[in-house]
Amino acid sequence: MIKKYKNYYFKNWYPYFFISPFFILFTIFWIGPIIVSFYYSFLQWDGISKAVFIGFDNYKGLFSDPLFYKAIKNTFILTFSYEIILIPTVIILSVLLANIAERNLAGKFISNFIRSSFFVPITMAMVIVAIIFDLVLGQRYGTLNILLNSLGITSNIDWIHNPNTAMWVILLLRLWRNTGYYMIFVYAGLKSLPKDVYEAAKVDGANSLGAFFKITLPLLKNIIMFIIFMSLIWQFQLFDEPWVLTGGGPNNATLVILIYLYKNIIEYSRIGYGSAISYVFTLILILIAILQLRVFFREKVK
Amino acid sequence: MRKYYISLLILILIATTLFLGIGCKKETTETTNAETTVASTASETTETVTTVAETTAEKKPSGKITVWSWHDLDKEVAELFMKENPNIEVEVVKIGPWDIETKLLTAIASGRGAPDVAAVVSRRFQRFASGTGMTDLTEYVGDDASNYLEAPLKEHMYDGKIFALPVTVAVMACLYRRDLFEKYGLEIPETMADLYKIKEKLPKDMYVMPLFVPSGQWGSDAFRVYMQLAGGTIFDENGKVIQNNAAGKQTMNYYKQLIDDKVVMTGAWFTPESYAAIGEGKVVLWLTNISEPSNLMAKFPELSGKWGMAPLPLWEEGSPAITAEYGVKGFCVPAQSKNIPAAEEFVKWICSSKTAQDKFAQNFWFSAYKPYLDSSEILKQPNEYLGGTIPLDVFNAREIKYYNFIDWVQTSDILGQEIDAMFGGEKTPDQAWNDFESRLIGEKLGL
Repeated sequence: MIKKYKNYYFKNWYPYFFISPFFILFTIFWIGPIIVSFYYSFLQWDGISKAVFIGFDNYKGLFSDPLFYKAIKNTFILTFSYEIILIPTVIILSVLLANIAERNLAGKFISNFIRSSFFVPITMAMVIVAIIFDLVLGQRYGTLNILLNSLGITSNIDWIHNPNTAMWVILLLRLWRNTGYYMIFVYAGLKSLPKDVYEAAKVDGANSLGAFFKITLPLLKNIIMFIIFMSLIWQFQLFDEPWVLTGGGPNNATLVILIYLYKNIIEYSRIGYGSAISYVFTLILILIAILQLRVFFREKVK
Repeated sequence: MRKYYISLLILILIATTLFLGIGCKKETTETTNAETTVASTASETTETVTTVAETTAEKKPSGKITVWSWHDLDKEVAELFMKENPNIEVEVVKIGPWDIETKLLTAIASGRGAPDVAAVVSRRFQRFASGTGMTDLTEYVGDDASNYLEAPLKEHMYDGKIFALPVTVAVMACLYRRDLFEKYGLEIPETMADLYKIKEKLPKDMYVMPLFVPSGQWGSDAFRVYMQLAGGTIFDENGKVIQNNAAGKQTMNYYKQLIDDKVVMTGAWFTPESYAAIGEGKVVLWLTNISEPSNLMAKFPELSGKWGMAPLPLWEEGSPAITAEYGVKGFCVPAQSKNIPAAEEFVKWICSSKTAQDKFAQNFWFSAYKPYLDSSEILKQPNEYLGGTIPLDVFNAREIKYYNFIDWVQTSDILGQEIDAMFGGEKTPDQAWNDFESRLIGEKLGL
C-alpha cells in the first residue's frame, strides 16, 4: 500500500517543483526570520557588540516592565473602542448610502461622489493626514478650537498633545481613515440582498426598522463577522497613526505595543528584548484569533 | 518521455531564475527607500566599485565612494570635493537621519550593506562608536585632532579613539525680536532670571519664549542644555548615573515655574502651528539652535532685520559663560567600507576644508574646525536678517560644554516621559527627577 502511494507521488513529482519556488522563498524570507528572531529573544544584543546568551531574562524583564503593560493596555483600549464604534458606523453609513442610491435621492453623480469620498481617506498618505489633523486640532490656530471659540465655547486644548485627548484623536483618525474601506463590503452586501424578502416582510406588516433588524442584519451577518475579524487583527497592529502623530507620547499616552517594539529594537538597540516583545505579542494575537474563531464561527464548526 | 524533458527544462529555468534573483552580488549598494543621485556625469549605477587604484607617485586615494546623508547641501559640497579630487567619485544618497541610523544598525548587525561614509547625529553616535562597526580614524586624523573644538570632537570618540569627525556644530543661542524688544522696552537677558523681567513688561497674551510641551525627545535635549547651564550633567565621566542630582531637580523645578508663571508659550515645536505663533510675534525671544535663522529666513523673509541674536543667558550671575551642543553633525566611515582611504579623505575634507565650510557657513552652519572659525570671512560678516549681528561673535561668546551622551536615545526618551508626567500634574518636579534616576539605574543605562 505504502509502495503504491510512493510510486504515485514519485511519478507525479513535477507539480511539486512548480510550486516549490514559493515554498523555498517563503521558508527563507518568512519562516527563517521567525525562527532566528526567536533565538534572538534569548540574547542580550544591540546589533553591534557581541551577543550574550541570557536565557529567559528578556521574558522575565518583560513581565515586570510597566511600559509593556501600558502599551498592551493602550492597544486593547484603542482596539475595542475602535470596534465598538466602527461596526455600527459602517453599517449605518452603508445603509444610508444604499438608500440614497436606491431611491435616487441625490442623483447618480452625487451618490457616486459621496460613496467615493468615504473611500478617499484610506488612499491618502499618512504624513499628509497627520499634517491635516495637526492643522485642524492645533491648540492656537487649529480649526476646531477656532470654531469652538467662535461658538462661545472657550477651548485652548492641544487635542493631539494632551495626554487626556491624544488617544481619542488617534481613534478618530483611524476611524476616519478606515470606515470607507469597510463600507465597501457592507454596501456590496446590501446591494446583493434579495428584494423579495423585503417585499414579503412588507406584506406581513414589517416596518423599515423591523426589516433592518430582522432581515438586513441577519443576512449581513457573515460580512459583519468578516469585518470584525479582519479589523480586530489589523487594529492590534496599530502603528502608523500614533507614530506619525504623537510618537507614542505624550508621556506614553498613545504608546501601543508595536511602537514599543519598534523603539526597543530600532531606537534603543535592544534587539533581544524587542524579539521577546514580538513573541509575547504574537502569542496574544493567536489567542485572540482562536477566541474569535470559536465565537464567530461556532455554528459552522458545529 | 517528452513530458520528462519538458519538465526538466522548466525546472532548470526556474532554478536559474531563482539563483539570479536571490544570489548576492559582491558589490551592491542598498538604495531602496532612498533618493539616489550620482553627483557626477557618470551613468547611474547601484554598484559600488571596490578597487583602489594607485594613480600617481603620491598614491592618492581614488575610486568611488557612497555617502549617506540627509541634507541636500552635502550633494553640492560633494561636487566641490570631486572638482578638487578628480580621482574620487562621490555618490550621495539622501536618507533621513533616523533612517540612516536604522540602516547602519542593520548593516552592522548583518555584516553588509553599509556605505563608505555616513552622516550621523552626533549625540546619538555613542552606540555606534562603542562597537566594532566604525573605522578608527585616530591615526588618520593624527595631530589635526587638536584643531577641532574639544566638545564636539569628544562626542565622536570612544575609549580615547576617534570614530567620526564633527562637520558642523550648533549650540544654543538667544534669538530675539528686536522690533518687539524696542516696542516694549526690553533688554537682552543676561541670566535666566532676566526672563521674568521681560515677562513683567509684556502684555498678558504674549510670552517670553517657547517651551516644548509635551517634551518628548526634542524637549529632553533642551532640558539637558539648561541643566548644563545650571552646572549639572546626568552621567559622570565614568558613565555612571549621578544620583540625588541637585542640578537636575533644580532644572525640573525651574521648568515647572516657567509654565506656572506663564513665562513660556507651551506647545509642540517645529510644527506649522509653532512657526505661525513665532511669525505673529507671540513670543519675543527663542533659546534655540544657533543655526535656526536659516529656517526663519526661509519661512519669514518679511521679518528681515527684525531678529537679533545674542549669546545664551547665564544660569545666574557669576555662572560660567557656557553653552551646550544643540545639534552636532558628524561623518563616520563604517568598517565595512570598501574604499576606506577615499572615504577618510572625503570625511577629512568636508570637516576641515575652506571650500566645504564656506558652503556650510553660507547656510548658517558653524564649523567645528578651529582654523576655519578663526579665518572665516562669511561668519564674521554682519548678518542683515539678524539686524547686523555678527554670528561668529555670538558663537565665540560662550564655551561649549561637553556632555557625555551615553545611551542618549533611551535616556532622552525616559527624560521626556518624566518631564511630561510633571507637565501633566502627575508628579512634582522632584518626584519626576527621582523617578528618572531610578529608571536609568533600573534600565542599566550607562555603565
